[in-house]
Amino acid sequence: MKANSSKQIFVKLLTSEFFILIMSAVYYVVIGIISPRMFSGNMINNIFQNMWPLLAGCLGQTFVLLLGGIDLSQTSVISLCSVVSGILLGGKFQELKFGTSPLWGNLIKESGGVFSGLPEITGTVLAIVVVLLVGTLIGCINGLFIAKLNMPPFMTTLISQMLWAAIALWLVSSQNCTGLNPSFNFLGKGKLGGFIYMPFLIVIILLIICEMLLSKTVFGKWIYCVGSNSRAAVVSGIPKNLVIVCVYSISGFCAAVASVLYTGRQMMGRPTIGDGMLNDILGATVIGGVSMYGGKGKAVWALYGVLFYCIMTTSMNMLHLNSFLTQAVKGCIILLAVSLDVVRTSIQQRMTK
Amino acid sequence: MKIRKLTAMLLAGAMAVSGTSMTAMAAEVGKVTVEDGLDCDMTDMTIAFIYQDLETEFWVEAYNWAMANMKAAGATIIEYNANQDVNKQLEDVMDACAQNVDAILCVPQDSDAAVTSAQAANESDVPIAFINRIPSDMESVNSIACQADNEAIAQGAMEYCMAQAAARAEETGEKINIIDMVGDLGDVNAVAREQGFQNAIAQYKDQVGEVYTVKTDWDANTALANLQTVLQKDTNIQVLCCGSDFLYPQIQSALEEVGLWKTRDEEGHVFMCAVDGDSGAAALMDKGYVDATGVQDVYNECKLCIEALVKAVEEGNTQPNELLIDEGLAQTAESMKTDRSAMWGFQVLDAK
Repeated sequence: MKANSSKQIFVKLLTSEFFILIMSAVYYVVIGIISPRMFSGNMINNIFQNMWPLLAGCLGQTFVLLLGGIDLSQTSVISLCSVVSGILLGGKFQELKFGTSPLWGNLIKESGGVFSGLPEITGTVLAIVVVLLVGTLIGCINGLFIAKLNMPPFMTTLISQMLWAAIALWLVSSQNCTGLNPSFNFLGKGKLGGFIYMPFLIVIILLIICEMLLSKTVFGKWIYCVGSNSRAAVVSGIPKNLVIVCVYSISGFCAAVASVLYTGRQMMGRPTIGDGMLNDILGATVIGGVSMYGGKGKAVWALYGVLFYCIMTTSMNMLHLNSFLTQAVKGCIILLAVSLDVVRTSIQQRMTK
Repeated sequence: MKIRKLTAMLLAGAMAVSGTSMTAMAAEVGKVTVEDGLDCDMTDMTIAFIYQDLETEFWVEAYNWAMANMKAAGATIIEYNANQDVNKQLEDVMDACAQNVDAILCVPQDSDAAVTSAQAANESDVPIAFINRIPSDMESVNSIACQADNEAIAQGAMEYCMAQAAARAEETGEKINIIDMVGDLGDVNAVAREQGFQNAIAQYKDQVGEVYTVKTDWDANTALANLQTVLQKDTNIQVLCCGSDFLYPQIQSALEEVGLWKTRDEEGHVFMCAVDGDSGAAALMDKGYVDATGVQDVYNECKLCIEALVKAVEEGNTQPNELLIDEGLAQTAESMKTDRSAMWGFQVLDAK
């Protein structure tokens, strides 16, 4: 009897939507016991500061995974949007560095970027609008190829990743665009009123919107239906192609938001700023419990996954692990998360039979 | 569905395998002797060593020397490898500051990233030092930065090659045609080296014929393609200079195609020089293909940075601001006969 009730508790815990949140808390406490500095205010602040730009990207990836797809182009969107920010808001451009750029002399000049002559806030707002539009448009293009031409999401977004990464480098001749508006940088690292961290504010609003979209709207239900069984969804009258295009557009939009935060934090537009992020975005999203099979997940699960991922990364540094082992351990944990997803799905299917 | 599952497994597995294999590789190149080590005591000091990657021999040697000598001096070291991810490097700096380290020794992704990292360290009042790459805006941040006198070492190496070529040209009556392989001109090191090469060329302006500029952008494929294009136009080349010796494999490939890859004892030898000083360049100097190398003394740069950091910590200076110059040297085919080990690449080569 006792064994049965323990097993039931274990199964209930394993299949709970708060499983990763609980694991994050347990892991944090265990690491804190080994290395008490984990409990310090600075470390907690650090963990949270690192979470928000990553979460923005993960929210977009969540939508795509719910559909049973994948978006490999997010990193290139982040890079290209960073470059666009730099072109629009950059300070002085040197001919020695940017002379070979195709934009030299028209969009970028020694005097500065496109909006450098405008009042600061106006320039920043316009730049953000343009950047978000660019990200959304790229996502929309991805969605159109997948929906209309029936191209596999993996190939479509892989090609998109290569294309936009190359364009980002080409536009600025692989150079960094420095001297961005202080108000733009404030979005990536500033504190509203001196204590509310701007990336936190921006991403929490984005999280709430995403969660409402998925749980409270018909569109959200459509996403789950298409992700669970696309044929049944079509038969039910759900406009599958429209859903696909919208979902990939949302993914591009979220990547653009992440780009604004990363670019503001770096205080420069960098054509390679998104390089190497794909593992983090996909890994954190999957760790949160969003299924790669489609049809299962929530926006808030991405938050849990990012929290665990950031605690894990910080703990590796606390434990003074060799930097190469850190990558190996991260990979193993993501492998475990994917395997766990299979196990949890299997248990839940058995439970519903 | 099977494809998605396989993709996820492969992605995670690749991460795991790459980390493990890199661990093995790092262990293999870790042959360093602690000679001319640090002149300071680092007992009870915790240093964060934050680097961009360990993909070139220069940085592997910097890593090995710094780790071995800081440990020998008694320091506790927390290391961070950003894997060329500038966001990760910033997070590493912030993490190090949150861990209340005494100081940060940093190999920045580039000069612009150094500004961001220095700002983060300054906000937390943690002294920071940059090896080999100085912040692009030194005015706005406080940091210790060590840079080689790239112009002088490139000029010294190129002067040797030009002198050899000029002596031969006097006998043959030929003009000296030069291939100048330029690095990424967004990199201050590349700009300084190019200036050094030009200074040397200017001393022989009456004997110089054509100067072909080959853009490399510090990319091997770009360098090879552009070099091949020039050699298709003109194979009558007497001197070749290059911003970095990591491009020698590409140079060899292109020169071999047109029959110009010859030792200094062979007729038609192209006098060659580059900058950095790795073991590949050392081996080529031994074999007679390369005539001179402008050497950035990687060990000296690490030593200067670490000792300046320790001094700052001991004085309680949380925002030291200092520019340190590594004078380096020009190792030539002549000087290597008498003072071989002055170039770190020969030390690595001889240790293998």
